Amino acid sequence: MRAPTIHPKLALTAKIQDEVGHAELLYRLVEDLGKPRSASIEDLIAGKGKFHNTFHYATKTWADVGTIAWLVDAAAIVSQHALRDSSYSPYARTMQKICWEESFHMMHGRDMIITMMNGTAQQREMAQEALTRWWPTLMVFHGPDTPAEKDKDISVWHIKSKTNEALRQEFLNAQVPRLREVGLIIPDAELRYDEQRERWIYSEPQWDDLRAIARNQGPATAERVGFRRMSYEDGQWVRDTLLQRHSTTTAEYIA
Amino acid sequence: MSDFSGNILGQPMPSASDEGEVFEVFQQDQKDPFPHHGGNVRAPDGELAVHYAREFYGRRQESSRLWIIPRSALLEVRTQTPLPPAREMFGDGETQVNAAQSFAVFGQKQAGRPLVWVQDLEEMAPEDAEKVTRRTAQNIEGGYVRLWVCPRSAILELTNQDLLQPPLDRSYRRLDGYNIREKLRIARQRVQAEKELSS
Amino acid sequence: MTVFVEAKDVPTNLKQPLSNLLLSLADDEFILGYWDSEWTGVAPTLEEDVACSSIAQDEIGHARIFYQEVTALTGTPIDQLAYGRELPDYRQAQLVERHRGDWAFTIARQFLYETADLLRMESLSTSSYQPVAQAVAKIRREEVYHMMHVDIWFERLAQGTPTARQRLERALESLWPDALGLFEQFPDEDMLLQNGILTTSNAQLQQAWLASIAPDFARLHLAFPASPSSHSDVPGDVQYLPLITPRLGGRYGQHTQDFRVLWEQMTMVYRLDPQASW
Repeated sequence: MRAPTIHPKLALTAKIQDEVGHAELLYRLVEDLGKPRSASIEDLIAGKGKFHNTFHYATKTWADVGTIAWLVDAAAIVSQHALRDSSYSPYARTMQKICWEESFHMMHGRDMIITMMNGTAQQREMAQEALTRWWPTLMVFHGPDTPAEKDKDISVWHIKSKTNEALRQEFLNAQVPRLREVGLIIPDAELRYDEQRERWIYSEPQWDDLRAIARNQGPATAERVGFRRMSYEDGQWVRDTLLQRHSTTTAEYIA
Repeated sequence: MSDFSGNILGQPMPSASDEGEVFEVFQQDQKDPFPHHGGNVRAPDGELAVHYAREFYGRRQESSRLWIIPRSALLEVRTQTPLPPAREMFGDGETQVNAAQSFAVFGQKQAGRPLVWVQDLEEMAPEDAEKVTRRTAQNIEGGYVRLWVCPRSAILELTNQDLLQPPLDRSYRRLDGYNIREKLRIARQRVQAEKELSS
Repeated sequence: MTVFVEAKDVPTNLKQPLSNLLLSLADDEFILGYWDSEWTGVAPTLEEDVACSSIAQDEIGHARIFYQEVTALTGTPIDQLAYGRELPDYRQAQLVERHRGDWAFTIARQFLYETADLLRMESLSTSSYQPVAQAVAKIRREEVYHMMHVDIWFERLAQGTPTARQRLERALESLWPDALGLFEQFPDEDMLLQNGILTTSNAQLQQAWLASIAPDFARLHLAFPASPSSHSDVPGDVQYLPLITPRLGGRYGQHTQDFRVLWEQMTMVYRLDPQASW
């Protein structure tokens, strides 16, 4: 609703549309594995869903939109790439489609933030403030440094091909230089690249916050889940009327 | 999804769900010689399925043609097991199932790869379609590890270019719509200038 | 009839009327698009969410085309047009500015608007102002999808569960006065007609529109607040007389509380610094 001008309004609407589309793709997969869509959604609105940690945080300013689009999506892409070679091929193909679509989101976010950094002093401040606020969340995005043998997604299910720490390092490798080159300051005095160990060193993230989120007790969780529940319930009469017409029509050639 | 006759647990996949039916979507773009499987959508019926297929497999102008096929109309031809009688496969109690129909054949060349359209079988009775499909499995160069048939009448086709390649600018939702090179150059210059000022 | 090939061909006395017309066309699509985009993320099904969002984006895209034509005429940048005007300078019909409402309200409004717009776009396709004729030719092709989508839903709700039907009827009852305001006369409409920029008057378009949708309402047994009467000598020339009072004013900058709320949210970031680039 609050996009500043036409282009960001269109781009943001398209991005949210894509996220909904990704949910649909994943729920479809899950449904083919036996769990009906209504059950998945009911779990979500009952607060039992395991949706990603970034959705538990509030967005405060317009700069948050660009920051999230750039950095949260960059973090997600790193994870998703690791899932593209999943041993379960329907999942692999879905993740490939999702990755392809997410690449536009990250570009859109980066475009927004760079535009702001090239803009007025007020815009630059807004962008910096958003980064400062979101950085701690980004550092816990990929989860704790769990060794491969303890990570079932790697060792047992063969769904994931890299450890959490490897994913985080990949994220930092790609994005830290890009953030710094446009003049943004990363709010971690410890952050530096260690040439010898060939890895990024950083301050220990706040793992307690992540644990709260895993219990669905993040700062914006209740509000977000509540909003979802309300929208879902409001739409029940529409789903009911759709169920009335349930037969396949014979071929309609829409030329 | 490349494989929709059985999920990872080996059980048959639902073709109907609690809110509609599943339709498999095959897509073809300018470079493709024929349609290949892209995924599936769920809809209460064919009319809405076409709309949704266009959204999920065409809103970025990535397709020039879509085939939308109810999952229940796609039947796997297993070379070992015989197909059920034609009237069970394709009959709805009303149509003449022994009458000749056209069929489309889809094949999977390798496990995990998407299905592709192989050929059309014109004007055959369902039993003949089955026989021809099995022969196809054996004879086509390159071979197909799995094959499916469906009556052509079950395919909902979308070729309307106003829907798939609409005339107005949608670059804001595609990667090629963003060119940040110039903006980056300006940003780097500014950062450099600020560094020089403070040193 | 003179044909105006581009903006600079337009004589001074026609510039303001033409620019107001273009703003009306743009604002109609823009404000409607904004309300429709409010379903993104919260539509009744995930599939419908994606479909609906595309339609909203198309609408904003169409508005953008018309705003670009205003820029060509007046020089004002498009974002300043879209976000920088004060409330009474917007020219949309009040139909499109009402809050999105429930799903039935959105579909009912969409049906009334799309069927009307179909005729309006058709009449503009032969406008003497070439840029509009060309823009409209492209827009019409995209609107085919919108019309298909709303037709499907209008039928389903009208023939759906009792709840669906009731909600649709309530929505229509609430929307009809605004729908009749879609064809409020434009400022300087006579001048635009004389110069061929408009090819059909609003009054004529309204008649054509009512005649085009009356059969759907009859078939679906939905209340239709206009009665046909043939009081002319020409056989088959049926005039539809509205039985309710239209809500007018949109074309003259008179707007509702719903728009005030939308405008405040929509323009909030822009107004922080209208000179900034985003």
